[in-house]
Amino acid sequence: MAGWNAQVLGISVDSVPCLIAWAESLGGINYPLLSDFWPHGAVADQYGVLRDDGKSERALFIIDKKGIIRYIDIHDIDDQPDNEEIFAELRRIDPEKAASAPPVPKSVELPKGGIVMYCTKWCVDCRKARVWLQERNLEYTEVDINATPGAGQQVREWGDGHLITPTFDIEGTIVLDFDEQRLKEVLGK
Amino acid sequence: MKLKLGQAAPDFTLPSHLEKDVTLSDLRGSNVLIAFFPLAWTPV
Repeated sequence: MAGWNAQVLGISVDSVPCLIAWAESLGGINYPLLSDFWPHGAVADQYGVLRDDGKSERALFIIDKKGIIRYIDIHDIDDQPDNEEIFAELRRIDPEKAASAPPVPKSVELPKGGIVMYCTKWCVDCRKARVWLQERNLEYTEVDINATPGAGQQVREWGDGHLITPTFDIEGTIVLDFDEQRLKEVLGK
Repeated sequence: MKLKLGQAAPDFTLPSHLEKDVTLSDLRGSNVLIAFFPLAWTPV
């Protein structure tokens, strides 16, 4: 949502380790997921969205630049919020920014040849893999799956439905995960 | 509904999965979309 000049914050009542694990299972989430774990649901309660069962409702609040609440939407717990509706609201409260927002990116061609590493900025194994490659003076191309349209889908296809980072495409040979043994085999090192 | 449109958003500081705390009032100057979501998901 960078183009909309809106900072997205996700909030759930789960603990930080749980959020980290969840984000990793999704292949990374690059906006902060906040843990409203202790005191349990205190912020959800302040915002009136804490349920009796201790979970929060699925709810959206848009806060403007001055800290004023401009939009409130509380969904049924099983409902996915509608992105278009949110964009429309952001356009309404900030028309200037909305006008300059970039168009929705289309899939781009993914790099081929040499070592291509599909990763995220934050993923720990990607960080290790970068160091590993650099230590061996191996040239590689990095594809940020969060910033490259179509990349996540490609990784999911390779990973049999799983979004595994890092995933390597080495001259057409796919290596899932930072698997040093397998990388050494494929690279002949 | 506890909060109403046009009210100031209650400030908070919470730890995030990106290893640092986030304070709502630090984000003055940009619009903020807060999404509360039920995770209902437990790590193995």
